[in-house]
Order: sequence, then structure tokens, then C-alpha cells
Amino acid sequence: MRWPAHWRDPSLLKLLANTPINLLLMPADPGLDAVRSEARRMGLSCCEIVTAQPSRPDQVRIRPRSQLEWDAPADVVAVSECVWPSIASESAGSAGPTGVPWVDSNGWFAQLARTLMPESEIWLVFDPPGGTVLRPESYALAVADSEAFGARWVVSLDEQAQADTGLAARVLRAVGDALRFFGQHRAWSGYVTCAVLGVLSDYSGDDRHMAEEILNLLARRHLPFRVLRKTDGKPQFEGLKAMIYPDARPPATELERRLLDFVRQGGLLITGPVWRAREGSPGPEDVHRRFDVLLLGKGRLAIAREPFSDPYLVALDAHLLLGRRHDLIRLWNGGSLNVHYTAERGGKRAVVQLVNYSTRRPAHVVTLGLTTRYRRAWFRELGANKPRALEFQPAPQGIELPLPEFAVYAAVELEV
Amino acid sequence: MSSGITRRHALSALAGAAMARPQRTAPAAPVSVVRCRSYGSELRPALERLFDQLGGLGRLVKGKTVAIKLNLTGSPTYRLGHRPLGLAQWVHENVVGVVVSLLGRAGARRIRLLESPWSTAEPLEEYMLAANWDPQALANAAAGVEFENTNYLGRRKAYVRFAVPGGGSIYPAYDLSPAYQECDVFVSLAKLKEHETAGITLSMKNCFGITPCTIYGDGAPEDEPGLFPRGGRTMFHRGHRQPPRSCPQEIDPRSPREGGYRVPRIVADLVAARPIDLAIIDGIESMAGGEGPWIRRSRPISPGLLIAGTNPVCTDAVATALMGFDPMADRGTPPFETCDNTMRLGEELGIGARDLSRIEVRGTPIREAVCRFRV
Repeated sequence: MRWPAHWRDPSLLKLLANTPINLLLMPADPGLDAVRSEARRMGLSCCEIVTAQPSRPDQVRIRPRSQLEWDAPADVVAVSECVWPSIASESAGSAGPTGVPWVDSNGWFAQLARTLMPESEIWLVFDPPGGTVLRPESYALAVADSEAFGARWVVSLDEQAQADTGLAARVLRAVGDALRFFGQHRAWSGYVTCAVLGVLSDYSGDDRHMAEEILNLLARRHLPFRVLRKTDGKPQFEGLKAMIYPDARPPATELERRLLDFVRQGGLLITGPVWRAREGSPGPEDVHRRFDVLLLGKGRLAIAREPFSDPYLVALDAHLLLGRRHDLIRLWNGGSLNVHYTAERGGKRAVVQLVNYSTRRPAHVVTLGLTTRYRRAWFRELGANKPRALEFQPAPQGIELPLPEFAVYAAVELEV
Repeated sequence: MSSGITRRHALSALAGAAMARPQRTAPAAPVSVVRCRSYGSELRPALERLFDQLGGLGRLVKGKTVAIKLNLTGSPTYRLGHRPLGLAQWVHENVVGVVVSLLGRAGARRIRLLESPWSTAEPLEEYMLAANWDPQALANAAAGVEFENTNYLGRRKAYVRFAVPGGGSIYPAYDLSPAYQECDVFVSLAKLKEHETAGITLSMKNCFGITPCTIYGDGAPEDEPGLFPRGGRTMFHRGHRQPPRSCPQEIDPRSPREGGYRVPRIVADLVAARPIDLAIIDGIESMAGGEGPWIRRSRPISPGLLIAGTNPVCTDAVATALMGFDPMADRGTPPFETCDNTMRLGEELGIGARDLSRIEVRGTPIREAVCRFRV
């Protein structure tokens, strides 16, 4: 937690009692020595935030997301330039063209960072927005949006909560409940994302923004993706049916050969006009006529006629080119939700984590559709003590699970 | 008046309602009604009986190209509670499948499933998949089944202009997908529902969705139709803008800018311009209170009925009566509290009669099958 700089009274540490918060980030201000001392006596760690290379073990360096270097992992990677998770207000004029609300989320980034820095713990450092009254549920959402996708939020209180210890207590109770929930299900963070679509990029330099925004917008389509990095020795294509190669520079010869093999074996490669190897015979045109589609072996090569410029269109086209028959997951009445579908490596268990950015119980209950015909399912809602067994409905595309109402977050545990 | 209804228009509408008389004698045709409680094994025999009571499908479709306008309103990811869309706002996929199968068996040469799904150019099969339908099952239900999204031109070359007989009430003609011309038989496969703007949405109102949003959508360009559909048909509801200049413009831009006036007239005109040869209404499971779950008071309802006829006004009149409403009612009376009666407008255009005394009901009598949508 980022300890408020003007909270100099050590008695305020009582607000953290019964929460799993075990580390405080605070400035190296002598005025906070009493707090630091009491915190350590209570068993809490105290660290200082720095923006340069740490010189002491009790310093944590925060790096802006846009400048994060994937090849410089650390035990803890603390990242700023994150968003406060929420449904963007209409007044901001940011409602998306998807017909569903525009959502600010760090989930895609957490998934990206977890994949590219698998040995690091990813801390997301962001503060609540000012000038608005935040309910405790908004804080629980900030925890869930990070934890559901494998990262951790460095808890931070807004000005109102800092000024009102009663409100701070309610907020920290909600945060504590959420942290405790995810602490109890830490095994889920070892699960791997279920996806049939890969996004293969450098995730750096000039290609970074496009590749990252594609991840963000695929997430809003509830289209799960696997993050693949070009510079990995041999990015894993197994289980994938389609691949987006969004980078503005063509891949190296060896990677190009592997991608063409992926296509020949039945895969779909979606790429920009930089693609060099125009092999195959002309295939059926895509709906929006933005691609030259070539049939190669058992698969398809979709080469954009113009360089990628709008990540929304890339995500839309990828879904259309791939086809919904390959959807692993579907949601009904889930416009305000993002989803993370993961499974045990080689195991029988899976979990679908659902984050509701409206933080309110929806007007219409959510139905979850899955193509895998699981045999057992349990529903866990944030704040509820016990899981509830779910009933299945057979569906043409697999199974459907009518879900109970939930406000902020729920997980559906599945077993084949 | 905020709605834009002038004294002249109000008096004109009232006069029309008071007379409630067709300008010329509208034809009447039998309407078939059968009970069917589920979309399971009883569905196929029920639909066979429904069509047999009309004299069978063969005489209508043998050797013909049949176009079926489905009612797949709203987003495929929007449900009334947990209910699959076919149990609420959409025609049920099993009804589509069995109808396609029976049309094929009756000798239809080609069967095109048509819809202009909300603000998208994606293939109709993809739209169905998003609702958890199985389009392959529909494709396999008969030989020569095709799917087409008529919300845009797709791979076709040009829109076809359908003039409204008599000149039209709002627009003199509509530019539509050629799919609505290149058919020998046009079927409206609708759902038994109320409608927020038009009071009811049955076989006639289903044709609101034959109009492409590349022309009639909120995001249509000013000069020419767009390449891809954008937005809904608010233009039809509010009249706040005109279609692209290359398309037929409104007859009287000073006419009321109010959905309850405009939408029923547009629907009646569309049905006059593109006549319905067979109206089929799925009323087995549905929703009351509105046309989709976005209407706040909507709730599930189980009328357990299938209705069909060769005249859409007659068919809708019987369906309206089966919903517990009076098909002769007009503005101010349920379900037309804030709108004009589309059936009256259709009758005035000479499409068909709505007076139940002139309509032969075959099968289950209305009095035995009424399911009141308002309690």
C-alpha cells in the first residue's frame, strides 16, 4: 500500500488490522519515522519509492509502463502509467464503437507483463482519480482488475478516504476482503490462458503501441489471446488457430518460415503489408475487404492492404477472419465485463474470472458459454464465503452456465 | 408541440382513426393458428399442421426461390435474463430450421435467410453464432440454403429501388438489398411481441429490418450509401436527418418527427412496396412489454402459439387478438397508446383486412388461445 504522506499518526496503522496488506510504500520523510517504526513493530515491511536504480534493498523502483524493458526483469516490477479501472464516462467521449461500454482496464497489460516477465511479481501503481466519490466497490475492482490477470495493485487511497478515517476503514475492509480472496486462490495465477489466437510482436519500440492496444481491444471482444514475443527463441504456436503479426517490420527469416509452416498446417496468419512471402492462391475476400487472403496448405494468410493503423479494426478483423465458431468463451449481458479464462497446465481444472467494471449488479444476469463441455462448475463471488455449484444448460456450441448476479468480480471454477 | 405533431397532422390522424375505413376494400385471407408448447419434438408436426391448414406450402414455393426475413433484433449478446434469444426477442432457431426443412420438402429451389443485423456487416452466420445458434444446422435443413446480411450491399452491385404504391406516406420509395427482389416468394418469419414504438411487432413490423443501415442508419453518409452499416435506424424514428442524397428523400420533411407517427407508416409502406407472400409468427415462447430486453418492463411470456397466413395484415390482426388486444384499436388504445396502428395503415393501402369478422381463422379458435400480454 502507498501510505499517504500526511498520515503521520502511527495509530492510523490500526486501519490495516485484519487486512492482508503487509508492505507500505512511503517517501523517505523523517516525519514518517514514527509510522515506519510502528509498522515494523506490527510486522509490516516499509519500502521507499524511487524512480532510478535502487541503491538499497528497501527501495522499490517504479517504471513507467511505456518505458518498461522486458529484458530487464526483477523480482518485483512496479509499473506506473496504469489506468484506474472503470467504465469510462460518456462525458469523456470515449464510448467505443463496439456498442458496449468503453472500459479502462489494466488486465491486458498485466497479462502481457506476466507472460514476458514470468519470474517477476508485477505491481501496478496507480492512484484513484480525484474529484469523484469512490465507493469501496471501486477499490475492490482495482484489486480484481489486477489480480484476475496475474498482477497486484499497490493500494492507494483517494483524498476523501485519506481525510475521513471512517471511509478509509470501509475502503480498506473491501480491499482486504478482495486481497484475501485472491490470496486464497493464488494457484490460479499459475494457470495458463486458454486461447486460440496469438499476438506475436516485439512489444517494443515503434511496434509497442499497436501491439498493446490490440491486446486491449481483443480483451474487450472477450476474445482470449496468447502473448507471443518474437525474440523468444521459439514462440509456442501449439493449440493456436490464428496469429496476429502486427509489427511494422517483417519477421526474421526463421520466424517467417515457422509462421508459414503454421499456416500450411491449418493456421490463419493476419499480418500487415510488410509481409514478404506472398505464397498461396487467392482465397475468399474478407468482409470489409481490408485484406488479401491467400490459401496456403491447409490454412490462410491474410495480408492487410494498408498498414495497420487502428487497433480496433485489427481486433474486429481478426475475430471475423478467425470466425466465431472458434470462440472458446461467450458472454451474454456481459458488456461491462472483462474475462480471463485460464486452465491448469495439462490438468482438469480451469477458471473463468469475470471482472465487472460497472461495480453494480447488472440489470440483466450474465450467462457464460463455453465450448469445452465441463462436467462440474462452482461460482465464487467476491465477499461470499462458500462456492455455489452451478447447473449446466446444453447449447449448440458447448455448454451454457446461467450465473447468479454479482457486483464486482466472480470466478467460475470448472472441472472436466 | 415537442413531438412535432402539428394541429393539421393531429386532426388528420384523428379523422383517419375515426373513419377506420379502408380507402378501398382490402383483401382478406385465412389465417392458421396452432397450439405448440415447446420447440422440441412437437414443433415439426405443429408447423406441418399450420401450413396444411393454409393449403400446404407446395403450391406457394415449389420450384421457387424463397427469401425469409428473420426477426433477429438487437445485439446477439443481449438476453432477457438467462433466456436464450429464441425464447424471448428472436424467432427461435428450431422454428427457422423446421420451416426451412418444410420449404425444402415442399420443393423450394433455393432458400435465402435474410436479416439486417444491428450495425454490422458481419456474415449472418457469424451473428447467429454469437447468439449460440448453429448456422450449419440451418444450412443442412434443406438443399440450397443461403445466408445474407442485407444491412449492406455485400458483394452485390447495386441497391434496388422499391416504390411504394400510391406514393408513400414518409418516403416515396426505399432502396433495399437486391435479395428482396431476387425471390419468388417472400416470407416474414416474425416473433409475437409488443413494441415500444409501434405497439406490436409481428410480420409487418419485422420488415422494418429489411432496410439497410448503409442508407437508413445513423452513420450513413450524406451523398451516397455507406460501404458498411453504422448505427441504428433513428432516422426512421425521429426524422432528424435524410437518407443519402442519391436515395429517395422524405416526401414532407415538415411531417411529425415522432416515432409513433413515422414508424407505423414506414412499416406499412415497406410492406406495400415489398409484399409479404407468407407471414409466420413464432409465439411459442416470447416476451411481453416490448421488443427486446432493453425495454425495462419486459418479461417472459409463453403463449404456446404458431400463427401463419398469406396476408400479413390479416395474420397480424389475428396475432394481435391472440395477444389480448383489439386489432381495430387505434392511437390512444392499448397497445397503440402512443402510436398509430400499422394494420390500419396497411389496410388503407389495400394490403389486407384487419377486421376479424372478415378473416377466417383455421385451426385453434382465437377465443381458446388468447394469451394476454397485458394483465
